[in-house]
Amino acid sequence: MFVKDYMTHNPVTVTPDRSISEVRDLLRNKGFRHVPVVDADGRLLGVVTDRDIRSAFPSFLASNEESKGQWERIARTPVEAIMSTNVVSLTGDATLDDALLILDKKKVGAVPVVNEDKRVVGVFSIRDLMRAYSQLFGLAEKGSVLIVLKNRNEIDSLSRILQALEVHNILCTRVVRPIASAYIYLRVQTFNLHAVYAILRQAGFEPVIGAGISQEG
Amino acid sequence: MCSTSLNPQEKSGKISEPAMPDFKTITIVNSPFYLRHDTGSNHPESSERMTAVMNRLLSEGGAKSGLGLPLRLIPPRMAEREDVVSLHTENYLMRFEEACLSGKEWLGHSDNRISYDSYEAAFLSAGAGLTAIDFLENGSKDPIFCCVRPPGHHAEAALALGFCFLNNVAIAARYWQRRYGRKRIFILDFDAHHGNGIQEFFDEDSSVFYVSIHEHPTFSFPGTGWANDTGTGAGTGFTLNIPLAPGSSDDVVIKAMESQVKPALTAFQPDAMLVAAGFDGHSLDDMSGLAYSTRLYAKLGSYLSVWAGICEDRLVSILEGGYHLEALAAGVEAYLMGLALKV
Repeated sequence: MFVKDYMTHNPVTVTPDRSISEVRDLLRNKGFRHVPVVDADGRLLGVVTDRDIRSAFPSFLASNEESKGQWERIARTPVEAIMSTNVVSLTGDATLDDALLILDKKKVGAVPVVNEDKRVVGVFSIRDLMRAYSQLFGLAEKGSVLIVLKNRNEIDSLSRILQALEVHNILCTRVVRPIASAYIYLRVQTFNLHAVYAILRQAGFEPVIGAGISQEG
Repeated sequence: MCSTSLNPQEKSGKISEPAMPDFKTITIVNSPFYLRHDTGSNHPESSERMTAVMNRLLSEGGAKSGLGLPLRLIPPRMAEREDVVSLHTENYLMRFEEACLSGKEWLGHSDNRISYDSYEAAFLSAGAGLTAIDFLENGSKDPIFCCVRPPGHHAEAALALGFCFLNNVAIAARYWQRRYGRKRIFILDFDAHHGNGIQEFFDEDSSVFYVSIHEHPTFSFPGTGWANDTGTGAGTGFTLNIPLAPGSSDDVVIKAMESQVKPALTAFQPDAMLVAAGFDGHSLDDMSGLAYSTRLYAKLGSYLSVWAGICEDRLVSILEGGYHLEALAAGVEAYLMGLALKV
């Protein structure tokens, strides 16, 4: 559930004196879209994105005459001049929920992860977030199946479901009961659906099979 | 009563015989030994499945099915070890055999129930496909159906999954290539569940085209078979997954057959075809949320009967799932009727 479990550790960083051209080549070669800018001690100063770099370069539509001077300036200009300095960061102990809220609110694709000394120890991207939640939700987990039950809004329904499954040694990796939903969703690790349905019916639940599920979306 | 509604024969006082549908003889590969793979009580993949299908098919003492389909019954041979080790690992086979002989109740996961005879039954199940291929390659043009258990399409190189131990269809595909040089094999899997094992074996292989029509992996076992899995490396473009929403019925499948399967088949130009024939998409079968009717299986049979013309009728169908006994038996019979109908 923590950022440190899914982030890229020891990421590539640059110092603020590197030129824009150098950093552009670095991003291109590595296939990155973000790179943290750090001081000599590895402390976070800012972030440069491929978008910052693109906007620093002259337009392809500019004439040679117009762009010539600019190319020379770019080669001399340190990345410090274009980096974002008002940068949000996370710590490794931040939760995936923290990361989701920040990525969404700040509309950024990745966030540097720092330790207590503000030294950069990682980068956490939207891709890392998707990977983390896919794993936590058991997405594409081979051998599992979704079971849908009618939600009668009984206070003890989740405990009864889990107890019934556990007593019969049926591994359940996910239970979701969205607020005010007509259904409860379970992901179980078995193909013996007859047995699962029988157990759940015995515990007082009604499985929804087929068209009912597609209507719920 | 308006006289134009009468047909000419009635006017002349004679009623001609209606044309009876004519069927090719269907070869069924089956062994009573399949009943000895004992999955205990309350298991969906039970020996009653086999009994239900065979009783339905052999209702006139073996010569004809209840629908009057002419049948020929042949016994399967055991798959050779070399046929199987081209796909499954030696270590896995050893574990499987050892588990059966030592009286273990299941392999890998409690779903995969085994008994003393399960290892042998699995080799005989895999062998049916090979027997069927030999039969076709010896000159038969008639439809052939391997009525087998345990099923196979979930089994991977070293993994028993979803009641499957040896991947019968994958083993048959490799055998056809190796023994008879039929290089390009087209596999259609219409079981309600994705055949993860078949996909996995041929993921990087452009000589085997795998098409699966199944309930969407978000809802259904085993949670694989996404539309964007199309193969890897050299096999890119040689896997076609067609996931269907829960509740999907015949019309969706027929549309997919016409608009996706047929073009894929035509473009691939196979030398031979295999069908992983599962009947658990039937509306009565609660192992999936699909809502197929028995009629659909007749339709699928007739598509395949015609389409197999692309590879000189080299088509072998192998039973996979289907857990509602009545729906399974009726589905198999309808499928065979579609396969065997002379047009």
